[in-house]
Amino acid sequence: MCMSRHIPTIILWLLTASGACAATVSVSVTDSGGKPASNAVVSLMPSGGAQIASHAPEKSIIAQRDETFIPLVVIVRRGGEVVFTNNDTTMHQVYSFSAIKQFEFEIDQGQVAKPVVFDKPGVAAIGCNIHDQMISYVYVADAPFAAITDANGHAEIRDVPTGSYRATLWHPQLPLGHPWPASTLAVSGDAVKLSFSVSLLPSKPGGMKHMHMDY
Amino acid sequence: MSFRYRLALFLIVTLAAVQALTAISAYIYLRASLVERAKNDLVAATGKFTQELAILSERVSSDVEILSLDYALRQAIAQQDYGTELSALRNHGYRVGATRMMLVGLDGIISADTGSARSAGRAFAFQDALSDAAARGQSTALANLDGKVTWIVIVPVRAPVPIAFIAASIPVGDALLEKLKGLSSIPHSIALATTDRSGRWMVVGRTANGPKTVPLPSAGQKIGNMAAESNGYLTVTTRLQTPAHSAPVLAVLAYPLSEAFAVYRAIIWPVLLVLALALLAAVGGAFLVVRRASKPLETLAATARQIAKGDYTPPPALQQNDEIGQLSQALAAMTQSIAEREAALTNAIDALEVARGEAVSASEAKSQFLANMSHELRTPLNAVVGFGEMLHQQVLGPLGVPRYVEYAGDICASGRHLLGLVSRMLDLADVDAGRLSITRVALDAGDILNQSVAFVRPAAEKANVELSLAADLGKWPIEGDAAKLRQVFTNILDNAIKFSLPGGRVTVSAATSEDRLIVRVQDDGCGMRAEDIAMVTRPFHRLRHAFDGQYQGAGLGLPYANAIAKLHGGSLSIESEMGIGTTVEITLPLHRDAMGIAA
Repeated sequence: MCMSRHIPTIILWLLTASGACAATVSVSVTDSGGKPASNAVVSLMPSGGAQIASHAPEKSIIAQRDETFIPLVVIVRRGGEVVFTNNDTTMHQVYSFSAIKQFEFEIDQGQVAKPVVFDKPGVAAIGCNIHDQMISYVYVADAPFAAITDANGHAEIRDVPTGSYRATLWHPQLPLGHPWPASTLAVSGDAVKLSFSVSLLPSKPGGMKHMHMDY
Repeated sequence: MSFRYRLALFLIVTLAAVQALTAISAYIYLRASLVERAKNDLVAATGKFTQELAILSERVSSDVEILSLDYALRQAIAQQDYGTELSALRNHGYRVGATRMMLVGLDGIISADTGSARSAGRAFAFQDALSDAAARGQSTALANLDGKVTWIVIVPVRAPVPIAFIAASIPVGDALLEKLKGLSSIPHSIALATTDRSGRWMVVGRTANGPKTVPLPSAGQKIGNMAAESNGYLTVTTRLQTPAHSAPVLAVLAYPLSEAFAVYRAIIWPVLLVLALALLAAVGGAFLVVRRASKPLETLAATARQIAKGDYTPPPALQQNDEIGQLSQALAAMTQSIAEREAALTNAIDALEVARGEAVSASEAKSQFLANMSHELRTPLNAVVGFGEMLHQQVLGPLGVPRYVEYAGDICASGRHLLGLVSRMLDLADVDAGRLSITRVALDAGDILNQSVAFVRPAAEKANVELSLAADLGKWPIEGDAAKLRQVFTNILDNAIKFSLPGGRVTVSAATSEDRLIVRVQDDGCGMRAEDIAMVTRPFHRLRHAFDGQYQGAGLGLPYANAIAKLHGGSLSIESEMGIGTTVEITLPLHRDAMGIAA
């Protein structure tokens, strides 16, 4: 009985011990025009229900600077928390009407808000009701591996054990209502390459224009 | 009408026609170009109209876009709070002037509708507009909604990513059209039209000015950009962009042609004035030209009239090197030639006149001589005949030798014959001098003809000529001189017998025709040539050359008969053919009344 409580720990150890059998997955994402797509989230979920401890961050920080959420996309593991900090000289409001997590609070200038726990997987769009152009996305990863592409559309996922994975891609500009692109990835050896090409919406749909009715 | 006026009229009519044609073609060209310009203006205005419409629609969509930032609305959508959704839509709809507001899910299903509670759960009508709004951040289009032309403005509600769409329906009314019209520089009117459920076009909005009836396409007609001219307006119809499931919407811009022709009206009077002055100048010029052209002709005409009057003074020659100059010279030459001939003719006529006078007096002298001679001859002949008679009848005792008695009879007979000839010559001379007269008594021409035939019958028998009287001699009452008529018939019968060959035949016939008696004496003798017929009735003309003295005679018979017939109011005519014979016809007027008295 006592032993059975330690089985996960043993497996974890075994897996960790098999570091020699882990690979680095190198991800490349481009849009349909062949240009690198940044801020794309690629996640790897082992096939066949293998249990792997999450490598995704437990805690992420979204700053508010120059009336902008920074960064645009953060990853937290499921059950992880996100902390909002106000680095501006104005007050901000933070809200989410997304299905996985709905909340709203205000945050004064120079303050750090209470951490927000995200316990459902998915994407929450974060806005500020005061500055409507501000937007940020919290990617709540169920998968053990997840990474965000840089400005070159590249991301690296390290220490991925050999095996079969389902690779899923998400991007803020994916068309609404379409399923997220996914592929099967076999990981073996030291290095594995993974690439996605996706069609994306224009980056800033419909800029806001505050005009008064005069007709 | 004189040549001058005809030429002037021709020039004026030609000039006026040319001017009228010029004016008409200028009018047609000007009108066409004005219409073309107005059409271009209108097409430009139509383009401007759609541009202004697009700008206005962007403003409208901006107004609606602000609604999408309503936090309460976002919250209500997130929490599916239908009541809050509706009230937020109503409040905002009122602010932007929308008559109907809808909330449409990302799946295209209506979740709230201020216009109809029943539409919740149904698919939104203009899905393509939703796709457009999703792709571009907003979508605005004119559409026919509930039979009204409205702006359908669709904006996504962001939280901060799109969670739903707001669809606002803002009616496009007359006021908006007036405002759009005011932005244009040309005085056009605007009307909006759409189709009803049966596809029939109807006007749903229009500015105050413009045609009473807007020209609309017929149901089912394909719509392009159409320019048309009707009822004094030029119209351009253009189809406005509408979502896929909306009835089509047309904008009809109309331009009053009276405005387009204002330019034309402004210049028409000066142009007409210039044309009138030009015509006046042309008429003056025409008269000058015509005067120059007609003056020499009039001079020539005057010359010709002068010649006609018999004035042959040499006319002034026109010093012109053209046809008129040649005509003038020819006229001068002709005048001279006529004058010369006239002089020659006058001389000839004078000579003839002298000759005629001489001939006449000679003829008179001859007649006088004959008359005198006849008288002079009759007196000794009377002595010859009288004494011959006394000798023949041995009035003063026997002559002794019987042959003297016989000779005395011959003297007496020859004297009588000579006396008859002299008498007839005297008569003819009287006829010639117009002195012969006849006695007029009622008598029967049949008797006279009978006596005459009986008188010549011995001569006929002697000449072996058959003399037949074919006429049924009735009573033919005439009025005249019995002795002279007997002489006439006897002369004609004598001639017929004389010019018949032995064994020939002379036929005497008579008939009446209306109130005339026609006596015909026909022989089958030698006949005459046609040209001699006229000669034989003239005194002393015997056709001697034809008979070489074979026949005796003085040539007095036919002329005498002719003269007597005429004195009786009748006539004598001769038909003859060489070798066939001669027919002499004497016509005398009948006098039935006279006969009645005689009877």
